[in-house]
Amino acid sequence: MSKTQTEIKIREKAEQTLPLEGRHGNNVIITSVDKVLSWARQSSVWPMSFGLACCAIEMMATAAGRFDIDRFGMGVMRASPRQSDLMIVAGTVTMKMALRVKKLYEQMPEPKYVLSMGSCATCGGPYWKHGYHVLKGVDQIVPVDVYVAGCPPRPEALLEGLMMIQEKIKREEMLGKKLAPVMAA
Amino acid sequence: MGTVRVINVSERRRVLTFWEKIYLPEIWRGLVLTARHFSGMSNGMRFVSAIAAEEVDDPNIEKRPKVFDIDIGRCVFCGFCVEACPEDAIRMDTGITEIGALSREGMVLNIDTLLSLPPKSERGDKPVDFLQQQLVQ
Repeated sequence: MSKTQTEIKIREKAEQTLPLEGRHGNNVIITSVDKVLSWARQSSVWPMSFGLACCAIEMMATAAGRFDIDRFGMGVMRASPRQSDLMIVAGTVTMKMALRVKKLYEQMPEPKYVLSMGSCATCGGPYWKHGYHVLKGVDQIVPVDVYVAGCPPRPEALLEGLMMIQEKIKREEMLGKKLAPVMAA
Repeated sequence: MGTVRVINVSERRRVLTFWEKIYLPEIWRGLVLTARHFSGMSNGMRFVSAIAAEEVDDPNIEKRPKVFDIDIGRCVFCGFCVEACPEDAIRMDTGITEIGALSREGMVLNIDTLLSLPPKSERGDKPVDFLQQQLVQ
């Protein structure tokens, strides 16, 4: 069977099995609705309100008046993982806390994003070698979308990371994406 | 979403041996470590950058850098490497503080990336954008 025949067969099977929004691939309606949806999603990213170490102080400074993440629609710090879209891992993830971080991540509803703030969350930071109690990078337990450098990062750096999250959301497709992995298989 | 590498954190709760339970040997080991720090025997550097030189056949130059990696993700911006470098090869004068990347590998700057940075006079007022192009992959 040639490659095109295989592709046609996969597409036919996908059209039978997929839900309605995944059946037609990308067209002008789906992409337009996608753009509106992405715009709405990127303008109301709600971060979860929890901090692990000194990076959380910088996160609070970012949320406060001088830097003000409300400008990006991210000011609604939710105290519950059920209501949040973004987890800012701000600080040192100790082995004991790693269980809780993973549990919090699993409690968040999809679509969810993780921002690894500072070098502790990225790779263990100053504890990367002798820290027997520190998880060497939060990406070992949860998938990280954006890494931000610094110890702790300045509020500008966190804003940069948050804007990268927004850019990532902007490029995502909510409706047309379901056909793509089937076609790639 | 990338692939999730799950490690089981709870598995670290193992049964302690007899020597760990009586606790004193561990205290002595900790004291030795502290004493080493005081006497300067312990190397407290953080090894953010991995820089190594290799010898080449070219008679004009003695050595050239073989590895020149700077891991921005691990960097705490303390500036010790700038002070320690004998050849002033590391500088922290870009003024770039806002650094984010979409992947862990994107935060490791190798020698090619660092060489492709234009001099400060050509970068203009927006050095951030140039480095961002290098980091975002």
